[in-house]
Amino acid sequence: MTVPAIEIRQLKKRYRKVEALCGLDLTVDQGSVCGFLGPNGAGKTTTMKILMGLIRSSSGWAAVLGNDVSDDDLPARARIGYLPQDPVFPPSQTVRGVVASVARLYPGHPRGSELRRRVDGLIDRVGMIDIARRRVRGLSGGERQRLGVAQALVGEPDLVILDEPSAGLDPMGRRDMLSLIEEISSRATVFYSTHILDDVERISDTVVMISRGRAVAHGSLDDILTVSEADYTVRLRGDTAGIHDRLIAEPWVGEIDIRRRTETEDWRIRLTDDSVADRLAPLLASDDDCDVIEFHLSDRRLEDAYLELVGADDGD
Amino acid sequence: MATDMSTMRIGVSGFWGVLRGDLGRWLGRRGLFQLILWLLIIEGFLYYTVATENAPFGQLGYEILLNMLMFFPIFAGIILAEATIIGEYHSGIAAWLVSKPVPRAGYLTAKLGGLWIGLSLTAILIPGLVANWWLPKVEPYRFVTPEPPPFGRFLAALGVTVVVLGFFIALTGFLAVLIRRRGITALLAMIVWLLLRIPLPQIPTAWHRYLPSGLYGTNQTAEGWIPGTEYIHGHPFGQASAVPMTMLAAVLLVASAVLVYQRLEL
Repeated sequence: MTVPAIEIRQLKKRYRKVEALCGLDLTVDQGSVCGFLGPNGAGKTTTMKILMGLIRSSSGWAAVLGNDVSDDDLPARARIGYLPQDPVFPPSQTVRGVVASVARLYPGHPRGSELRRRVDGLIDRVGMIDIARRRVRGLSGGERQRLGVAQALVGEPDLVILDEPSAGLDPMGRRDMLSLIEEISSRATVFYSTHILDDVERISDTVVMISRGRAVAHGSLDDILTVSEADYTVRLRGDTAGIHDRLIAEPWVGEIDIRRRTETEDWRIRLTDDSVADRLAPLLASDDDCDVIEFHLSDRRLEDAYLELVGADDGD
Repeated sequence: MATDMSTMRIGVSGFWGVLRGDLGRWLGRRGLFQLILWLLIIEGFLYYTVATENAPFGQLGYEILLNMLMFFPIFAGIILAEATIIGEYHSGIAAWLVSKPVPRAGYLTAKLGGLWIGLSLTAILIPGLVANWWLPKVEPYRFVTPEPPPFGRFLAALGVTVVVLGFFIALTGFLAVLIRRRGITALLAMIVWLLLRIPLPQIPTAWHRYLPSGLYGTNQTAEGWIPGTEYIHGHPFGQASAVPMTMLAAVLLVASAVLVYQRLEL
Protein backbone atom coordinates (compact mmCIF):
# COMPACT_ATOMS: atom_id res chain seq x y z
CA MET A 1 0.00 0.00 0.00
CA THR A 2 1.36 3.41 -0.93
CA VAL A 3 1.88 5.77 1.97
CA PRO A 4 0.10 9.09 1.62
CA ALA A 5 2.22 12.01 0.45
CA ILE A 6 0.94 14.01 3.42
CA GLU A 7 -0.90 12.79 6.46
CA ILE A 8 -2.01 15.06 9.29
CA ARG A 9 -3.89 14.01 12.39
CA GLN A 10 -5.33 16.32 15.03
CA LEU A 11 -2.65 18.90 14.39
CA LYS A 12 -2.70 21.88 16.72
CA LYS A 13 -0.60 25.00 16.82
CA ARG A 14 -0.95 27.77 19.31
CA TYR A 15 0.88 31.13 19.13
CA ARG A 16 0.49 32.56 22.60
CA LYS A 17 -3.23 33.41 22.74
CA VAL A 18 -4.00 32.61 19.11
CA GLU A 19 -4.91 29.07 18.08
CA ALA A 20 -3.72 28.86 14.45
CA LEU A 21 -4.56 25.18 14.03
CA CYS A 22 -7.10 23.39 16.17
CA GLY A 23 -7.18 19.71 15.34
CA LEU A 24 -6.50 19.67 11.60
CA ASP A 25 -6.91 16.34 9.82
CA LEU A 26 -6.05 15.76 6.21
CA THR A 27 -4.56 13.23 3.84
CA VAL A 28 -3.03 13.92 0.45
CA ASP A 29 -2.53 10.85 -1.73
CA GLN A 30 0.58 10.44 -3.81
CA GLY A 31 0.16 11.58 -7.39
CA SER A 32 -2.62 14.02 -6.64
CA VAL A 33 -2.85 17.76 -7.07
CA CYS A 34 -4.37 19.01 -3.86
CA GLY A 35 -5.58 22.56 -3.47
CA PHE A 36 -5.43 23.82 0.08
CA LEU A 37 -8.13 26.45 0.26
CA GLY A 38 -8.96 28.86 2.99
CA PRO A 39 -9.34 32.51 3.85
CA ASN A 40 -6.42 34.59 5.10
CA GLY A 41 -5.40 33.51 8.59
CA ALA A 42 -7.07 30.11 8.29
CA GLY A 43 -3.82 28.29 9.04
CA LYS A 44 -2.58 27.34 5.56
CA THR A 45 0.95 28.72 5.90
CA THR A 46 1.25 27.42 9.46
CA THR A 47 0.37 23.93 8.23
CA MET A 48 2.92 24.10 5.44
CA LYS A 49 5.65 25.39 7.75
CA ILE A 50 4.99 22.50 10.13
CA LEU A 51 5.24 20.07 7.21
CA MET A 52 8.59 21.60 6.27
CA GLY A 53 9.88 21.40 9.84
CA LEU A 54 10.20 25.19 10.10
CA ILE A 55 7.90 25.41 13.09
CA ARG A 56 6.73 22.80 15.58
CA SER A 57 3.18 21.81 16.26
CA SER A 58 1.77 22.20 19.77
CA SER A 59 0.24 18.73 19.52
CA GLY A 60 -0.93 16.21 16.97
CA TRP A 61 0.98 14.42 14.30
CA ALA A 62 2.07 15.09 10.73
CA ALA A 63 3.97 12.94 8.27
CA VAL A 64 5.37 13.71 4.85
CA LEU A 65 6.09 10.80 2.51
CA GLY A 66 5.69 8.49 5.48
CA ASN A 67 8.15 10.33 7.73
CA ASP A 68 7.09 12.06 10.93
CA VAL A 69 7.95 15.74 10.46
CA SER A 70 9.04 16.09 14.09
CA ASP A 71 11.95 13.73 13.32
CA ASP A 72 13.45 16.41 11.04
CA ASP A 73 14.27 13.67 8.57
CA LEU A 74 16.79 14.91 6.00
CA PRO A 75 16.31 12.11 3.43
CA ALA A 76 12.59 12.91 3.41
CA ARG A 77 13.25 16.62 3.04
CA ALA A 78 15.50 15.91 0.07
CA ARG A 79 12.38 14.55 -1.66
CA ILE A 80 10.31 17.71 -1.10
CA GLY A 81 10.37 20.92 -3.08
CA TYR A 82 9.03 23.96 -1.23
CA LEU A 83 8.00 27.41 -2.36
CA PRO A 84 7.46 29.66 0.67
CA GLN A 85 4.91 32.45 0.69
CA ASP A 86 6.67 35.67 -0.45
CA PRO A 87 9.91 33.88 -1.38
CA VAL A 88 13.12 35.71 -0.49
CA PHE A 89 16.47 34.97 -2.09
CA PRO A 90 19.90 36.58 -1.65
CA PRO A 91 19.42 39.86 -3.55
CA SER A 92 22.88 39.91 -5.08
CA GLN A 93 22.60 36.44 -6.58
CA THR A 94 21.53 35.93 -10.17
CA VAL A 95 18.58 33.79 -11.21
CA ARG A 96 20.98 31.09 -12.40
CA GLY A 97 23.07 31.47 -9.24
CA VAL A 98 20.07 30.90 -6.94
CA VAL A 99 18.97 27.74 -8.73
CA ALA A 100 22.53 26.40 -8.98
CA SER A 101 23.26 27.09 -5.31
CA VAL A 102 20.10 25.22 -4.30
CA ALA A 103 21.03 22.33 -6.60
CA ARG A 104 24.37 22.04 -4.81
CA LEU A 105 22.60 21.48 -1.48
CA TYR A 106 21.42 18.06 -2.65
CA PRO A 107 23.65 15.00 -2.29
CA GLY A 108 24.93 13.56 -5.53
CA HIS A 109 24.06 16.71 -7.43
CA PRO A 110 25.35 16.98 -10.99
CA ARG A 111 28.47 19.02 -11.57
CA GLY A 112 29.96 21.15 -14.31
CA SER A 113 28.14 21.16 -17.60
CA GLU A 114 25.51 18.69 -16.41
CA LEU A 115 24.60 20.97 -13.51
CA ARG A 116 24.45 23.91 -15.86
CA ARG A 117 22.20 21.96 -18.21
CA ARG A 118 19.79 21.00 -15.43
CA VAL A 119 19.72 24.52 -14.00
CA ASP A 120 19.17 26.14 -17.39
CA GLY A 121 16.52 23.57 -18.24
CA LEU A 122 14.57 24.49 -15.13
CA ILE A 123 14.99 28.21 -15.68
CA ASP A 124 13.72 27.70 -19.21
CA ARG A 125 10.71 25.74 -17.93
CA VAL A 126 9.68 28.65 -15.75
CA GLY A 127 10.24 31.05 -18.64
CA MET A 128 13.21 32.94 -17.23
CA ILE A 129 16.06 31.83 -19.49
CA ASP A 130 16.28 35.32 -21.03
CA ILE A 131 16.89 36.83 -17.62
CA ALA A 132 19.02 34.02 -16.16
CA ARG A 133 21.84 36.49 -15.45
CA ARG A 134 19.64 39.09 -13.81
CA ARG A 135 20.13 39.64 -10.09
CA VAL A 136 17.33 38.83 -7.66
CA ARG A 137 17.06 42.48 -6.60
CA GLY A 138 16.04 43.37 -10.17
CA LEU A 139 13.21 40.84 -10.42
CA SER A 140 9.51 41.66 -10.32
CA GLY A 141 7.19 39.89 -7.88
CA GLY A 142 6.02 37.48 -10.56
CA GLU A 143 9.54 36.68 -11.69
CA ARG A 144 10.53 36.03 -8.10
CA GLN A 145 7.60 33.67 -7.77
CA ARG A 146 8.65 31.77 -10.87
CA LEU A 147 12.21 31.59 -9.60
CA GLY A 148 10.74 30.18 -6.40
CA VAL A 149 9.13 27.38 -8.37
CA ALA A 150 12.36 26.66 -10.27
CA GLN A 151 14.37 26.33 -7.06
CA ALA A 152 11.64 24.13 -5.57
CA LEU A 153 11.97 21.71 -8.48
CA VAL A 154 15.74 21.55 -8.72
CA GLY A 155 16.05 18.54 -6.40
CA GLU A 156 13.62 16.57 -8.62
CA PRO A 157 11.17 16.17 -5.72
CA ASP A 158 8.42 13.58 -5.26
CA LEU A 159 6.29 16.12 -3.42
CA VAL A 160 6.02 19.83 -4.16
CA ILE A 161 4.57 22.13 -1.51
CA LEU A 162 3.70 25.57 -2.85
CA ASP A 163 2.45 28.30 -0.56
CA GLU A 164 0.29 30.70 -2.59
CA PRO A 165 2.15 30.16 -5.88
CA SER A 166 -0.06 32.50 -7.89
CA ALA A 167 -0.35 35.26 -5.31
CA GLY A 168 0.54 38.64 -6.73
CA LEU A 169 0.75 37.44 -10.33
CA ASP A 170 -0.92 39.20 -13.21
CA PRO A 171 -3.45 37.16 -15.28
CA MET A 172 -0.82 35.95 -17.73
CA GLY A 173 1.60 35.10 -14.97
CA ARG A 174 -1.16 33.22 -13.19
CA ARG A 175 -2.03 31.28 -16.30
CA ASP A 176 1.62 30.31 -16.80
CA MET A 177 1.94 29.30 -13.16
CA LEU A 178 -1.10 27.03 -13.41
CA SER A 179 0.28 25.43 -16.56
CA LEU A 180 3.54 24.87 -14.74
CA ILE A 181 1.77 23.22 -11.80
CA GLU A 182 -0.12 20.99 -14.21
CA GLU A 183 3.18 20.03 -15.78
CA ILE A 184 4.78 19.33 -12.38
CA SER A 185 1.85 17.13 -11.43
CA SER A 186 2.79 14.62 -14.11
CA ARG A 187 5.86 13.75 -12.07
CA ALA A 188 5.17 14.73 -8.46
CA THR A 189 2.42 15.16 -5.92
CA VAL A 190 1.48 18.82 -5.63
CA PHE A 191 0.07 20.35 -2.47
CA TYR A 192 -0.52 24.05 -2.87
CA SER A 193 -2.36 26.70 -0.94
CA THR A 194 -4.44 29.43 -2.45
CA HIS A 195 -7.57 31.42 -2.00
CA ILE A 196 -8.16 31.74 -5.74
CA LEU A 197 -11.03 29.34 -6.34
CA ASP A 198 -10.76 29.33 -10.14
CA ASP A 199 -7.21 28.01 -9.87
CA VAL A 200 -8.34 25.10 -7.77
CA GLU A 201 -11.19 24.24 -10.13
CA ARG A 202 -8.83 24.28 -13.05
CA ILE A 203 -5.94 22.14 -11.87
CA SER A 204 -6.80 20.25 -8.67
CA ASP A 205 -8.19 16.80 -8.32
CA THR A 206 -8.56 17.00 -4.55
CA VAL A 207 -9.39 19.88 -2.29
CA VAL A 208 -8.98 20.59 1.40
CA MET A 209 -10.89 23.58 2.71
CA ILE A 210 -9.63 24.98 5.94
CA SER A 211 -11.24 27.54 8.16
CA ARG A 212 -10.16 28.68 11.59
CA GLY A 213 -7.49 26.02 11.81
CA ARG A 214 -9.53 22.94 10.93
CA ALA A 215 -10.63 21.23 7.74
CA VAL A 216 -14.23 21.97 6.85
CA ALA A 217 -14.22 19.93 3.64
CA HIS A 218 -11.88 17.35 2.27
CA GLY A 219 -12.18 15.17 -0.76
CA SER A 220 -12.09 14.98 -4.51
CA LEU A 221 -13.18 18.05 -6.41
CA ASP A 222 -16.08 16.06 -7.89
CA ASP A 223 -17.32 15.11 -4.43
CA ILE A 224 -17.21 18.66 -3.24
CA LEU A 225 -18.95 20.01 -6.32
CA THR A 226 -21.66 17.37 -6.29
CA VAL A 227 -24.73 18.66 -4.54
CA SER A 228 -27.31 16.54 -2.82
CA GLU A 229 -30.35 15.14 -4.55
CA ALA A 230 -32.37 17.80 -2.77
CA ASP A 231 -31.33 20.88 -4.77
CA TYR A 232 -32.98 21.58 -8.12
CA THR A 233 -32.89 24.33 -10.70
CA VAL A 234 -36.11 24.93 -12.65
CA ARG A 235 -36.92 27.39 -15.45
CA LEU A 236 -40.61 28.27 -15.79
CA ARG A 237 -42.64 30.35 -18.23
CA GLY A 238 -46.15 31.67 -17.65
CA ASP A 239 -48.09 32.41 -14.48
CA THR A 240 -46.10 30.87 -11.66
CA ALA A 241 -48.11 32.18 -8.69
CA GLY A 242 -50.24 29.09 -8.38
CA ILE A 243 -47.46 26.57 -8.50
CA HIS A 244 -45.45 28.66 -6.05
CA ASP A 245 -48.26 28.56 -3.50
CA ARG A 246 -48.71 24.83 -3.94
CA LEU A 247 -45.00 24.17 -3.56
CA ILE A 248 -44.50 26.15 -0.37
CA ALA A 249 -47.50 24.40 1.13
CA GLU A 250 -45.66 21.07 0.86
CA PRO A 251 -43.75 20.19 4.06
CA TRP A 252 -40.85 18.64 2.08
CA VAL A 253 -40.06 21.86 0.21
CA GLY A 254 -37.47 23.87 2.10
CA GLU A 255 -36.86 27.16 0.34
CA ILE A 256 -37.27 28.59 -3.13
CA ASP A 257 -34.91 31.25 -4.54
CA ILE A 258 -36.49 33.05 -7.46
CA ARG A 259 -34.65 34.99 -10.16
CA ARG A 260 -36.95 36.73 -12.63
CA ARG A 261 -35.97 37.10 -16.28
CA THR A 262 -37.83 38.86 -19.12
CA GLU A 263 -40.16 36.03 -19.99
CA THR A 264 -39.10 33.29 -17.63
CA GLU A 265 -38.25 32.67 -14.03
CA ASP A 266 -35.36 30.60 -12.65
CA TRP A 267 -36.17 28.87 -9.42
CA ARG A 268 -33.76 27.10 -7.16
CA ILE A 269 -35.74 24.73 -5.04
CA ARG A 270 -34.22 23.05 -1.98
CA LEU A 271 -36.03 20.08 -0.56
CA THR A 272 -35.88 19.14 3.09
CA ASP A 273 -35.56 15.47 2.22
CA ASP A 274 -33.97 14.07 -0.93
CA SER A 275 -35.95 10.85 -0.65
CA VAL A 276 -39.05 12.71 -1.87
CA ALA A 277 -37.28 14.30 -4.85
CA ASP A 278 -39.31 12.21 -7.29
CA ARG A 279 -42.46 14.07 -6.22
CA LEU A 280 -41.17 17.44 -7.40
CA ALA A 281 -41.28 16.98 -11.18
CA PRO A 282 -44.89 15.69 -11.31
CA LEU A 283 -46.02 18.51 -9.06
CA LEU A 284 -44.44 21.13 -11.30
CA ALA A 285 -45.87 19.53 -14.44
CA SER A 286 -49.34 19.45 -12.97
CA ASP A 287 -49.81 23.21 -13.23
CA ASP A 288 -51.42 24.21 -16.52
CA ASP A 289 -50.74 27.95 -16.10
CA CYS A 290 -46.98 27.61 -16.58
CA ASP A 291 -44.57 25.52 -18.62
CA VAL A 292 -41.46 23.84 -17.26
CA ILE A 293 -38.67 24.69 -19.71
CA GLU A 294 -35.75 23.30 -17.72
CA PHE A 295 -35.53 20.93 -14.78
CA HIS A 296 -32.26 19.55 -13.38
CA LEU A 297 -30.15 19.10 -10.27
CA SER A 298 -28.45 22.38 -9.40
CA ASP A 299 -24.89 22.87 -10.53
CA ARG A 300 -22.57 24.00 -7.86
CA ARG A 301 -19.39 25.89 -8.41
CA LEU A 302 -16.49 25.72 -6.02
CA GLU A 303 -17.29 29.23 -4.97
CA ASP A 304 -20.72 28.12 -3.77
CA ALA A 305 -19.22 25.24 -1.83
CA TYR A 306 -16.55 27.48 -0.39
CA LEU A 307 -18.95 30.17 0.70
CA GLU A 308 -21.29 27.58 2.11
CA LEU A 309 -18.65 25.68 4.06
CA VAL A 310 -16.26 28.43 5.06
CA GLY A 311 -19.01 31.01 5.41
CA ALA A 312 -20.99 28.70 7.69
CA ASP A 313 -17.89 28.13 9.77
CA ASP A 314 -17.25 31.86 10.07
CA GLY A 315 -20.79 32.38 11.20
CA ASP A 316 -20.38 30.00 14.15
CA MET B 1 22.59 2.24 10.08
CA ALA B 2 22.11 2.80 6.36
CA THR B 3 19.59 5.52 7.18
CA ASP B 4 22.08 7.18 9.52
CA MET B 5 24.73 7.15 6.80
CA SER B 6 22.28 8.54 4.30
CA THR B 7 21.22 11.29 6.74
CA MET B 8 24.85 12.15 7.41
CA ARG B 9 25.66 12.23 3.71
CA ILE B 10 22.74 14.54 3.02
CA GLY B 11 23.60 16.71 6.04
CA VAL B 12 27.24 17.06 4.98
CA SER B 13 26.15 17.85 1.44
CA GLY B 14 23.81 20.58 2.72
CA PHE B 15 26.52 22.01 4.98
CA TRP B 16 29.06 22.15 2.14
CA GLY B 17 26.49 23.64 -0.17
CA VAL B 18 25.80 26.55 2.21
CA LEU B 19 29.50 26.99 3.09
CA ARG B 20 30.49 26.91 -0.56
CA GLY B 21 27.85 29.49 -1.40
CA ASP B 22 29.11 31.82 1.32
CA LEU B 23 32.77 31.32 0.51
CA GLY B 24 31.96 31.88 -3.14
CA ARG B 25 30.77 35.35 -2.29
CA TRP B 26 34.02 36.07 -0.41
CA LEU B 27 36.02 34.88 -3.38
CA GLY B 28 33.97 36.87 -5.85
CA ARG B 29 33.40 40.57 -6.34
CA ARG B 30 32.30 41.11 -2.77
CA GLY B 31 35.48 39.48 -1.52
CA LEU B 32 37.62 41.64 -3.77
CA PHE B 33 35.84 44.74 -2.54
CA GLN B 34 36.33 43.65 1.07
CA LEU B 35 40.01 42.93 0.45
CA ILE B 36 40.62 46.33 -1.12
CA LEU B 37 38.78 47.99 1.73
CA TRP B 38 40.78 46.14 4.36
CA LEU B 39 44.06 46.79 2.61
CA LEU B 40 43.21 50.48 2.51
CA ILE B 41 42.25 50.54 6.19
CA ILE B 42 45.11 48.45 7.58
CA GLU B 43 47.94 49.49 5.28
CA GLY B 44 46.75 53.08 5.07
CA PHE B 45 46.47 53.53 8.81
CA LEU B 46 49.74 51.69 9.38
CA TYR B 47 51.55 53.75 6.77
CA TYR B 48 50.28 56.96 8.31
CA THR B 49 51.19 56.01 11.87
CA VAL B 50 54.61 54.48 11.32
CA ALA B 51 56.02 55.27 7.90
CA THR B 52 55.33 58.91 7.16
CA GLU B 53 57.80 61.65 7.95
CA ASN B 54 56.10 62.77 11.15
CA ALA B 55 54.68 59.37 12.03
CA PRO B 56 53.29 59.51 15.57
CA PHE B 57 54.38 55.94 16.40
CA GLY B 58 57.42 55.69 14.18
CA GLN B 59 59.12 52.80 15.93
CA LEU B 60 56.07 50.68 16.69
CA GLY B 61 55.24 49.21 13.27
CA TYR B 62 54.48 45.62 14.24
CA GLU B 63 52.87 46.59 17.52
CA ILE B 64 50.45 48.93 15.75
CA LEU B 65 49.76 46.31 13.09
CA LEU B 66 48.91 43.50 15.51
CA ASN B 67 46.78 45.77 17.65
CA MET B 68 44.86 46.97 14.62
CA LEU B 69 44.27 43.42 13.49
CA MET B 70 42.88 42.62 16.95
CA PHE B 71 40.57 45.61 16.72
CA PHE B 72 39.00 46.38 13.31
CA PRO B 73 38.44 42.81 12.01
CA ILE B 74 36.97 41.72 15.35
CA PHE B 75 34.46 44.55 15.25
CA ALA B 76 33.66 43.76 11.62
CA GLY B 77 33.22 40.10 12.59
CA ILE B 78 30.73 41.06 15.28
CA ILE B 79 28.74 43.32 12.95
CA LEU B 80 28.73 40.85 10.05
CA ALA B 81 27.87 37.82 12.21
CA GLU B 82 24.94 39.73 13.65
CA ALA B 83 23.81 40.88 10.21
CA THR B 84 24.08 37.39 8.74
CA ILE B 85 22.31 35.40 11.44
CA ILE B 86 19.65 37.90 12.45
CA GLY B 87 19.23 39.36 8.96
CA GLU B 88 18.63 35.96 7.36
CA TYR B 89 16.37 34.93 10.23
CA HIS B 90 14.08 37.93 9.77
CA SER B 91 14.23 38.05 5.96
CA GLY B 92 13.21 34.40 5.57
CA ILE B 93 16.44 33.31 3.87
CA ALA B 94 17.28 31.07 6.83
CA ALA B 95 13.86 29.39 6.62
CA TRP B 96 14.28 28.97 2.89
CA LEU B 97 17.67 27.29 3.28
CA VAL B 98 16.70 24.93 6.10
CA SER B 99 13.62 23.87 4.14
CA LYS B 100 16.16 22.22 1.82
CA PRO B 101 18.09 19.14 2.94
CA VAL B 102 20.29 21.32 5.13
CA PRO B 103 20.40 20.56 8.86
CA ARG B 104 20.00 23.61 11.06
CA ALA B 105 23.35 22.84 12.68
CA GLY B 106 24.89 22.74 9.21
CA TYR B 107 23.31 26.03 8.22
CA LEU B 108 24.52 27.84 11.34
CA THR B 109 28.05 26.45 11.35
CA ALA B 110 28.41 27.06 7.61
CA LYS B 111 27.27 30.67 7.98
CA LEU B 112 29.57 31.41 10.93
CA GLY B 113 32.40 29.35 9.48
CA GLY B 114 32.14 31.03 6.09
CA LEU B 115 32.29 34.45 7.70
CA TRP B 116 35.24 33.42 9.84
CA ILE B 117 37.23 32.06 6.90
CA GLY B 118 36.34 34.98 4.62
CA LEU B 119 37.14 37.67 7.16
CA SER B 120 40.30 35.91 8.35
CA LEU B 121 41.63 35.91 4.82
CA THR B 122 40.60 39.38 3.69
CA ALA B 123 40.94 41.34 6.93
CA ILE B 124 43.72 39.58 8.84
CA LEU B 125 45.96 37.22 6.89
CA ILE B 126 46.37 39.04 3.57
CA PRO B 127 46.67 42.58 5.05
CA GLY B 128 49.01 41.18 7.72
CA LEU B 129 51.25 39.49 5.18
CA VAL B 130 51.25 42.55 2.94
CA ALA B 131 52.29 44.71 5.91
CA ASN B 132 54.98 42.21 6.83
CA TRP B 133 56.31 42.56 3.30
CA TRP B 134 56.61 46.36 3.25
CA LEU B 135 57.28 47.22 6.91
CA PRO B 136 60.93 45.99 6.86
CA LYS B 137 61.47 48.06 3.73
CA VAL B 138 60.68 51.33 5.48
CA GLU B 139 63.71 53.59 5.24
CA PRO B 140 65.40 54.16 7.54
CA TYR B 141 64.54 51.02 9.49
CA ARG B 142 63.39 52.38 12.83
CA PHE B 143 61.44 49.70 14.67
CA VAL B 144 61.77 48.39 18.24
CA THR B 145 63.89 45.41 17.32
CA PRO B 146 66.97 45.63 15.13
CA GLU B 147 65.58 43.06 12.75
CA PRO B 148 62.11 42.21 11.50
CA PRO B 149 60.45 39.40 13.48
CA PRO B 150 60.90 35.83 12.29
CA PHE B 151 58.23 34.95 9.76
CA GLY B 152 57.06 31.88 11.70
CA ARG B 153 56.44 33.90 14.85
CA PHE B 154 54.69 36.62 12.88
CA LEU B 155 52.45 34.03 11.25
CA ALA B 156 51.69 32.48 14.66
CA ALA B 157 50.67 35.93 15.94
CA LEU B 158 48.31 36.29 12.97
CA GLY B 159 46.97 32.82 13.79
CA VAL B 160 46.19 33.94 17.34
CA THR B 161 44.29 36.90 15.90
CA VAL B 162 42.29 34.52 13.71
CA VAL B 163 41.43 32.46 16.83
CA VAL B 164 40.21 35.57 18.64
CA LEU B 165 38.12 36.53 15.59
CA GLY B 166 36.60 33.04 15.63
CA PHE B 167 35.72 33.42 19.30
CA PHE B 168 33.90 36.71 18.75
CA ILE B 169 32.06 35.45 15.66
CA ALA B 170 30.95 32.43 17.71
CA LEU B 171 29.94 34.65 20.64
CA THR B 172 27.95 36.94 18.36
CA GLY B 173 26.35 33.95 16.65
CA PHE B 174 25.26 32.60 20.01
CA LEU B 175 23.89 35.96 21.14
CA ALA B 176 22.19 36.43 17.76
CA VAL B 177 20.18 33.19 17.94
CA LEU B 178 19.36 33.92 21.56
CA ILE B 179 18.29 37.56 21.22
CA ARG B 180 17.43 37.86 17.52
CA ARG B 181 17.51 41.64 17.63
CA ARG B 182 20.04 43.67 15.74
CA GLY B 183 21.94 46.34 17.60
CA ILE B 184 21.57 44.88 21.05
CA THR B 185 23.36 41.69 19.97
CA ALA B 186 26.36 43.54 18.57
CA LEU B 187 26.39 45.86 21.55
CA LEU B 188 26.58 42.95 23.99
CA ALA B 189 29.37 41.29 22.01
CA MET B 190 31.31 44.56 21.94
CA ILE B 191 30.86 44.99 25.69
CA VAL B 192 32.36 41.52 26.18
CA TRP B 193 35.22 42.51 23.87
CA LEU B 194 35.80 45.66 25.89
CA LEU B 195 35.56 43.97 29.28
CA LEU B 196 38.17 41.45 28.27
CA ARG B 197 40.36 44.08 26.63
CA ILE B 198 40.56 46.37 29.63
CA PRO B 199 42.00 44.77 32.75
CA LEU B 200 39.27 44.27 35.29
CA PRO B 201 40.51 44.12 38.87
CA GLN B 202 37.81 41.58 39.63
CA ILE B 203 39.39 39.03 37.31
CA PRO B 204 42.56 37.51 38.83
CA THR B 205 45.55 37.96 36.55
CA ALA B 206 46.20 34.22 36.35
CA TRP B 207 42.77 33.65 34.85
CA HIS B 208 43.72 35.53 31.74
CA ARG B 209 45.93 32.58 30.79
CA TYR B 210 42.72 30.69 30.08
CA LEU B 211 40.54 33.47 28.73
CA PRO B 212 40.43 35.18 25.33
CA SER B 213 41.70 38.25 27.17
CA GLY B 214 45.00 36.40 27.53
CA LEU B 215 45.38 36.79 23.78
CA TYR B 216 44.50 40.45 23.38
CA GLY B 217 44.09 42.08 26.81
CA THR B 218 46.14 45.20 27.30
CA ASN B 219 47.23 44.13 30.77
CA GLN B 220 49.14 41.17 29.41
CA THR B 221 52.41 42.96 28.65
CA ALA B 222 54.43 45.50 30.53
CA GLU B 223 54.01 48.05 27.72
CA GLY B 224 50.28 47.61 27.48
CA TRP B 225 50.40 45.88 24.10
CA ILE B 226 48.81 42.62 23.21
CA PRO B 227 50.86 39.49 24.01
CA GLY B 228 51.55 38.70 20.37
CA THR B 229 53.78 41.76 20.06
CA GLU B 230 56.19 40.42 22.68
CA TYR B 231 56.07 37.01 21.09
CA ILE B 232 57.12 38.18 17.64
CA HIS B 233 60.12 39.86 19.21
CA GLY B 234 61.39 36.59 20.66
CA HIS B 235 59.71 36.43 24.07
CA PRO B 236 57.93 33.27 25.13
CA PHE B 237 54.17 33.25 24.71
CA GLY B 238 53.09 33.03 28.32
CA GLN B 239 49.39 32.88 27.54
CA ALA B 240 49.61 29.89 25.21
CA SER B 241 46.95 28.05 27.24
CA ALA B 242 44.49 30.75 26.25
CA VAL B 243 44.64 29.61 22.61
CA PRO B 244 43.07 26.15 23.06
CA MET B 245 40.77 27.51 25.76
CA THR B 246 39.53 30.26 23.43
CA MET B 247 39.05 27.74 20.65
CA LEU B 248 37.15 25.47 23.04
CA ALA B 249 35.01 28.40 24.17
CA ALA B 250 34.22 29.20 20.53
CA VAL B 251 33.24 25.60 19.83
CA LEU B 252 31.02 25.52 22.93
CA LEU B 253 29.37 28.78 21.93
CA VAL B 254 28.60 27.48 18.44
CA ALA B 255 27.29 24.21 19.92
CA SER B 256 25.05 26.17 22.29
CA ALA B 257 23.87 28.36 19.41
CA VAL B 258 23.00 25.22 17.45
CA LEU B 259 21.00 23.86 20.38
CA VAL B 260 19.00 27.08 20.58
CA TYR B 261 18.61 27.23 16.79
CA GLN B 262 17.18 23.71 16.64
CA ARG B 263 14.20 24.91 18.67
CA LEU B 264 13.74 28.19 16.85
CA GLU B 265 10.58 28.80 14.83
CA LEU B 266 11.48 29.95 11.36
